[in-house]
Amino acid sequence: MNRRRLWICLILVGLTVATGVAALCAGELSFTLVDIWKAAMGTAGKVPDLILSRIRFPRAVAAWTAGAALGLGGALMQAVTRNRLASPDILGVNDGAMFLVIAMTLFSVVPRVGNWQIATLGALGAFGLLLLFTKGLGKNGYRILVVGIGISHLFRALNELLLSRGQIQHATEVYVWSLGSFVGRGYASAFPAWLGLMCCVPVALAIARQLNILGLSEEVAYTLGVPVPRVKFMALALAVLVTGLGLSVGGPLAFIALASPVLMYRLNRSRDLSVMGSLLAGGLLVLAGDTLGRILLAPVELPVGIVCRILGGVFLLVLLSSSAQENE
Amino acid sequence: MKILKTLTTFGNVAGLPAAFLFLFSACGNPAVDTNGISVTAGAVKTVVDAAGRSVDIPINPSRVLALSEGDLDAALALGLKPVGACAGRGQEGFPRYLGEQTEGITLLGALYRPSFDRVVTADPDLILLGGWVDENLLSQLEEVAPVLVTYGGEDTWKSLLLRLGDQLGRSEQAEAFLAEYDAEILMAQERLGERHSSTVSVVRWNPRGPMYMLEDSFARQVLKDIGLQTPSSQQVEGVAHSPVLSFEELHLIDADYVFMGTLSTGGEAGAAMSSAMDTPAFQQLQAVRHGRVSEVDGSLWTSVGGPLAAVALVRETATLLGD
Repeated sequence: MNRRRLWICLILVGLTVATGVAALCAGELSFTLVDIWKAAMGTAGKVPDLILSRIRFPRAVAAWTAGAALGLGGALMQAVTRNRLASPDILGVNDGAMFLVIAMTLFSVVPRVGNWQIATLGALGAFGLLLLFTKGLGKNGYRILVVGIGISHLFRALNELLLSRGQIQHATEVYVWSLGSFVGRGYASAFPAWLGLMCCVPVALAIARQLNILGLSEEVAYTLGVPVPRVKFMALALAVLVTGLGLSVGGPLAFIALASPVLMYRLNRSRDLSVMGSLLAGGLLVLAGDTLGRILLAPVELPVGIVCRILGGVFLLVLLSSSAQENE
Repeated sequence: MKILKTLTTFGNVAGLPAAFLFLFSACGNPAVDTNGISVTAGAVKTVVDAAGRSVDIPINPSRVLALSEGDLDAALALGLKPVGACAGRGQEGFPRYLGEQTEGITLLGALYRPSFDRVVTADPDLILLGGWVDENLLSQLEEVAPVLVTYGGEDTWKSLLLRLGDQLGRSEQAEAFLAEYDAEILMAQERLGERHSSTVSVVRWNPRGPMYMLEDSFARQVLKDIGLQTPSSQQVEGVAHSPVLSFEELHLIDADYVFMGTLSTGGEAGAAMSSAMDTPAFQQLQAVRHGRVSEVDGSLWTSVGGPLAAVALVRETATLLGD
């Protein structure tokens, strides 16, 4: 890791902490740094203690975790496919996860929903289908993209079908989840994703160099002795796993997977995969988006998924127009 | 649960970025105070809620939050005014049919997405949460006050009213309310005369089109109590509504009388409904030809309802169909 990239990571950590503090302070009930300090010591009194320690902080952790996982997933996916538009949400991973969540909820007998972890399995299932239909990963990842878009549309259609046949009571809760929202989310929701990140990040760091060589060209990679199919498969599997875990926290959030790695390419001025950078950028974006969504229209929350979609749309336009200029 | 808490505490500690860990490690420690802020010194009792959980609730709760429409309606029917409630589904505020009865109740946010700032500020001693609830939301609400799951999939508004009345020590009010409802039904039947066994269709419009309410939906249960019949084309079991119908299927909403509404006032759904009413397919319906289509409040007719909604619906039916 060169000096520039190290500095950028440190700046991102700093921004994350600042945003985290803002997330704790801001809201209809606002608090000061002193309140936060007292809450951390357990001497803030009942209301600040409850809001800060049991609701806002766990929620901030959940939002950050989800974003970090999605950012990392996106970075790995783009590194394998060498395509900036390749992100797990475009390849049907989100829709596959949603499909399983909706199906489980509709066929559940207990009047409760909340087994969102099933989303991870759904994501892996969609990935399995993708591998089945692409029969190998294909050059430049184009085949993956085309098949992925097909799978994504298939699942989306199935989801619409299930939701339109479902009961109102179930549909409302699943709908809230499908928007992407961190209301009521805390440590318990974020824990599997945390555990997953702890396991996946070292692996991702270990294969990052080989992925970067692969990014030059497959021929070069073979010449240098990189086990190309294995590295590709591992990176894709990791990408899908962390994405599935990430979206099981607060629902599918569009554009985070797309935006985080691209942001890092720009900041690093390098096409190389930035594992820690993408992770930090994703966490920062979702934490900021969730906080904005919570305070903008309070008491009515704007689901973070919608905030991401709005900001992501703008981001994508800026990106496309600036890369068009580069090509000229 | 204990294991989960230990695990999650571990997750919190193990995973926090170093800076966060340094600054706020005490924030995530659940050992500070396990009862939340609003446990009063008053007496508590243990009840079993609609989800089969045992919950310790105050015998005389005074600061109640109602997080779904059915809870708000039932609590008001029992004479217990909640201090805060969520908006009705698809609506910006409380269900419209409740009118002035919701005055003074704090809006907590959208349905199933309450603002915790407001939940905590309200300082509740009991939280009512009905419907298919999210376990994560449930456990976070429990940090604030005891949470009662008030109804599940099998419940009707009557079973909700009776159970909640029993749990809140207001069984008498519940019985009295049901007696009043029966009286309303008799009055409506008298007013409707021989029309009281007509077929009636209840239709909700959303921007994509119309849906009719199924056999076990709230509106149908109430209409059945009056004696009004379901058209033979709509006898489908279920508590919700049909899929969105295309114009080819529009005849399915036909009946002696048709009541149509939207959840939100105006907006896309309202526009879809009024533009559809000008189409030939719609003009073909028997109910339209006889001038027996009424536009009604969808938040009353096509939502999950409740005791007050049931009475309002009986009265409105009597007004619309009576002479």
